[in-house]
Amino acid sequence: MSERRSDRIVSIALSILVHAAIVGALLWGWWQYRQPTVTPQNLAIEATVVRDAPAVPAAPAPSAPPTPDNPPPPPPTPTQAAPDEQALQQARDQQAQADQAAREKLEQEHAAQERANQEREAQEHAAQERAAQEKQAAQEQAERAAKAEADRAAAAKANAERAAAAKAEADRKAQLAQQRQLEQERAQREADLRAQLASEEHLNAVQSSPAKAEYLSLITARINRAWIRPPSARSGVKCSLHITQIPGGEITHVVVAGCNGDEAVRQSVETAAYRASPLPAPSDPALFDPNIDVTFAPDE
Amino acid sequence: MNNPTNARIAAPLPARASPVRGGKPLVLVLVVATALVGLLAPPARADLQVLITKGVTDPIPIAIVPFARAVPADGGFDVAAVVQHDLESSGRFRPMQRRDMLTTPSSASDVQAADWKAAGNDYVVVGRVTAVSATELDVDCDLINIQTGTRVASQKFIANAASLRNAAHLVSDFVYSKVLGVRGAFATRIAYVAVEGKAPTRRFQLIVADADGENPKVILESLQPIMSPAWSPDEQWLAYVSFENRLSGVYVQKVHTGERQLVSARIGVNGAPAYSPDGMHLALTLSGTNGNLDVWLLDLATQGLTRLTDDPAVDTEPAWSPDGKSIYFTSDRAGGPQIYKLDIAQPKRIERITFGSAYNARPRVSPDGKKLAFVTREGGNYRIAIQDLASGTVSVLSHGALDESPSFAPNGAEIIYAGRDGDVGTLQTVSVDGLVTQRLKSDQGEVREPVWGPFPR
Repeated sequence: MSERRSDRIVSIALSILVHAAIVGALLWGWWQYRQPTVTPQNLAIEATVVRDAPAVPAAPAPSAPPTPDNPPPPPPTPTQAAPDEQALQQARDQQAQADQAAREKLEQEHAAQERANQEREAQEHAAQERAAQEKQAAQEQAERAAKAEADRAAAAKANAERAAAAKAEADRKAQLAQQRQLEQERAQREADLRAQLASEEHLNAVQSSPAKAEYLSLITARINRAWIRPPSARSGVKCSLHITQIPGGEITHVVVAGCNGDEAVRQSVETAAYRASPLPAPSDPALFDPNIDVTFAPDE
Repeated sequence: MNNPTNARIAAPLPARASPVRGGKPLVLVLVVATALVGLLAPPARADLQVLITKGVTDPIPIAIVPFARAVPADGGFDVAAVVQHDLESSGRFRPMQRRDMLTTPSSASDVQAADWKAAGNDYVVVGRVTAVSATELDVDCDLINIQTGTRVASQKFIANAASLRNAAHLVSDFVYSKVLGVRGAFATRIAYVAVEGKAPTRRFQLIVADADGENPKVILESLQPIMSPAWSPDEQWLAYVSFENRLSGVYVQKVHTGERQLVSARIGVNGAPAYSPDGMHLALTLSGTNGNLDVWLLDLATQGLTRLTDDPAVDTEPAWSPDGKSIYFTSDRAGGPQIYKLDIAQPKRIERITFGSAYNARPRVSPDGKKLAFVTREGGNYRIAIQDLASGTVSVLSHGALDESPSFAPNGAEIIYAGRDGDVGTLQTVSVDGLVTQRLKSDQGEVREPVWGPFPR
């Protein structure tokens, strides 16, 4: 604990030092920063100079120094400098003045030439610059267009590829689905077949079972009770009916398939079929059959 | 021949209604349609095969809806009530009570099948009486099978106010035949002998009535006994024995007109006439001078007599087989009365038919020739029995103490006979299966020897 307290004192001291240093630095920086704020008046003067000699700031140096359009003035001939001293002096002064003037004029011309050259150069340069820029811009535009075209093409290609991929995927899925369906159908068929076999086995089992005999005897009793036998239904009369029943035993349809009896017999058997509705239910639902053949054959 | 003086002849003019071929049965179309359907689509053979061999003889539930009336031309006659009574009395039908009917449609198209089916009916009969002229009435009826939902048949009868009862019986016949496949006998007539009062003021009457006992008409009245009426096969004549001249004589009388002839008034007994099926002969019992009763054959056209039996025993009560080739008769040649059969072509060939009881008499052959009805003694009672001629099986049908004179209805479905209920004589019918008995008429006197007439021609 005590060690950590000393550590803390050290770190506090260091922290104070660091802060003090930062504050000091800030103050110095602020001082330094304040100096340039006084210079703008000087900058305004310099700006005048810049106007007289147009600079080409940040412009790349011309590949070749501009060639002066006007050749330098020819040197003065000596024949003209032979007067007396005064006159000579005067002449020299005059000559000097004239030279001065000529020089100044030449300088001025030269300066003007220089300016013009510089301006032309500047203009040319600017034009070149513009041209370069325009060219570059055009190039860039062309590049952009080409890129856009390429992008479009790429996109189209990508789309086509994606579509093709999607189609392939879809085809694959469809094929899979079809396979699955076929398999399901096959499975269903097998299941159906098994169920049918089972049901047939069951049916075969019940068909020969007492349950069926019981069911038939129930139906027989029911129809027998319902058949009011007319006097004309004598031995030798035979009538066949097809009865359709629905689950629950309700008789929905009766067809007289054949009957050698008279109209009264025919009426009686048909009526009996409807009177027997609803038919009794089998003890085993597997025995239910919507179609029943009934034969009326009075034994006298 | 001689018209006796002490018997009064009455000649009623019975009103007969006539059936008309009309209202073509829908059922024909249905049958054809059913057959076609059967041909086009034969149903597969079903797993469930049922064989019905018995059935029941329950009465068939039927509703006879009151007919639409033709007031006042119909005289207020209730056709449906007569039909209902006819069908109910046959024992083959169980008519719905009128008070249970919710509606009274008079044509097939107005019948709400579900309602009548819910009431338990198999069939519904609807009809209407309409006046087509001042005197002529049409009676139309429709028979509907409620269970199958089909109109079985329709029929029109032409009648008048006086023959509406007969028309009603024809409606009954129509329904009966369509439903049962057997011709109805409601529009036939019966004849019987009624005895009123006691000696010496007894009066004998020969009466003709509708088969249901209604509409009785006296066609002969006498203070002397009248016996053994017998119908001619054409239903126009009655032969009978009358003692109006104190001696027995056999007469034939035309029912409609009262015209009559004495056809046998020989010495001794002249009795038990029976028309041959062709109507040309009478079989009858004659005693001759020696008093021995034998069966003879009388040619009505020539009055020629042919002896059929020649036996010292009593041979009497002849009855024709429907084919006219044989005669059944009662004889006591074996001791007690039994029934025998002779071949008219070879009268010596005689066959005994009844055994069992010590008393079997008064034979009558069924219209199909297959059964014999007669009186048998069972215990101390005389009852109506029926014997199957092929098998010899005998069934006793009646339950009275002194039942006599059985006579088959022309459709063979019923037998009419006379019974006694204390002092009251009654006419009764019994179905040939013995299941249905019906009392037609009761009188303070006696009613004897009912005979059921043939179908009108």
